[in-house]
Amino acid sequence: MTNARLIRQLLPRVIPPLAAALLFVAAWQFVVDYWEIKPFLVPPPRAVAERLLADWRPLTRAWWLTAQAAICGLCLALLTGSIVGVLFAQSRWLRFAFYPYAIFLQTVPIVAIAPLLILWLGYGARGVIAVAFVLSLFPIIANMTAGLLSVPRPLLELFELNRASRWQRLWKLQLPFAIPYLVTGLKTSSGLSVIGAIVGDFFVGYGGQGFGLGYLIRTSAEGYQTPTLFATVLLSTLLGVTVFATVGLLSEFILRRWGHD
Amino acid sequence: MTRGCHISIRDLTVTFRESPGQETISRLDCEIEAGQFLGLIGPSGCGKSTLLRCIAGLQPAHAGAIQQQLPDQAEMVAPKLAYVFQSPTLLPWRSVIENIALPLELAGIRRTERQAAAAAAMRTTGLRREHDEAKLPRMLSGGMQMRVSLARAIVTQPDLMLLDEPFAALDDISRKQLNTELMELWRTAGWTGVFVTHNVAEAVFLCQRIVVMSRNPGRIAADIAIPLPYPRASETRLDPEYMRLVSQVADALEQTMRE
Ligand SMILES: Nc1ncnc2c1ncn2[C@@H]1O[C@H](COP(=O)(O)OP(=O)(O)O)[C@@H](O)[C@H]1O
Ligand SMILES: [Mg+2]
Repeated sequence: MTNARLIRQLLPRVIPPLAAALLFVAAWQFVVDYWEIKPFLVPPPRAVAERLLADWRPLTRAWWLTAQAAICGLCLALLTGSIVGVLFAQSRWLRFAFYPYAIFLQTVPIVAIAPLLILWLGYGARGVIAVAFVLSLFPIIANMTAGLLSVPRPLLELFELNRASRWQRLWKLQLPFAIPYLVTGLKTSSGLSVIGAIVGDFFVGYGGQGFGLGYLIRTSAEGYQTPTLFATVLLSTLLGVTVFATVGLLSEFILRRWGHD
Repeated sequence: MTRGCHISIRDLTVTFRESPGQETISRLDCEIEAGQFLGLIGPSGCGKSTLLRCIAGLQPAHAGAIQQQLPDQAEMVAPKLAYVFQSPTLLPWRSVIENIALPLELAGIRRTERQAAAAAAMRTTGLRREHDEAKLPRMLSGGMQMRVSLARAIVTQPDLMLLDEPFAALDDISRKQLNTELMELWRTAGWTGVFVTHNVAEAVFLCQRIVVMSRNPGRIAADIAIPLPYPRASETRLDPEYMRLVSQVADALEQTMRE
């Protein structure tokens, strides 16, 4: 793909959201000015921007720490979820026995589990990563299992007719077939991993190792530092979008071979 | 060059668990000589696919037996079998040549060897190697995908070729073209072929013998020899003998629908 074509494809994806953001900020400024809303309730965009500029260093540090935790949690979930999916697809009994408990992962009240995980794993990055991991695990298990089990019957029979071993069937048929499913799961999980990292950090911070966005959200909320809170929310959103977009680009690249363009 | 394998079907009965007590195929007997090209025709749901799947070993029989025997083979050597499905059943993430080489890959044949065999199979099925080998299946038309499917079937040099309505989804022109090519493949390779179709003209054009099946339960209603000489070409379709055979098979088929 040439650069010019890339730009022509990306522009429509970038300009409208930017325009929408500008419009939103303008409306926000107008509302705050017009009704003279107190800054500790809704700070004007200018105050938030000033906060972002003034606290640039600690904020980006927090952003980066949370980003790392989210990505680590997501990668761990990708690895574990894929393996669990393969096991589920290999054995009906295993699936029947444990799939209901995998669903539990999805409905688990994370605010209750997060303090527990941190209690077990200790304060610091490990606990935060664990929360991100738990939250992003289920979509990967579910999609991986579904993908491995959705291979059309004629394809399975083609392998059977050629006396393929179980291993060959898994490696050369089921796994490649499941890739698009896995990618869908990964997209869902990418957003969840960010939420998980923020929630985990909300409860603990990183102990002596600094703090992430969750910790900032908590302390600024408790101290009524609304501009900081707004700045942090903005950064959290930015993190979510960044992770999601990265995974999205990655998946488009991968799926080109599968004909999903 | 294979010699084709002899198939003898004795007293074959198939019932499905989903409909107990009802015999989908009932006490069917059929001998297929080595190297014969047999057409299997019948109303939809009469058990043509089921019979084919039984021969392939994909479907267990309730009773009866199917024997496959290679000529000059005293001890039991399992004949090599290829199956062509109604859809091309290609792996969408594999290139054309990798799809064709798949059966050899699963059999553990070395890479260079299977690439060479796949390239040869491409040539015989009218695929252009330099043009098509690296393409993904979805870049090809339906007719070309079916060609790839055929190439994959012949790459192992099978003794028995089972085809389940392989060209049913194609347009008339591709279908006629592929019919001619399939006939050529059979004439040069010499495998035994069982070709399921619901198209009478196609069956008469291709086959040496046509078995008409009836429905509920699946049985052989008519067994018609097609003594037209090979090679058959588009002129064959104008031959009065061809037309007579087409109407004979069509009558037999209609008879089974009326029952
Ligand atoms: N796996 C199956 N389970 C239950 N019934 C089946 C199955 N496969 C085929 N049948 C039934 O067997 C009959 C014959 O099917 P099939 O061999 O596909 O017919 P044909 O290929 O001649 O159209 C049909 O009535 C169909 O419903
Ligand atoms: Mg059928």
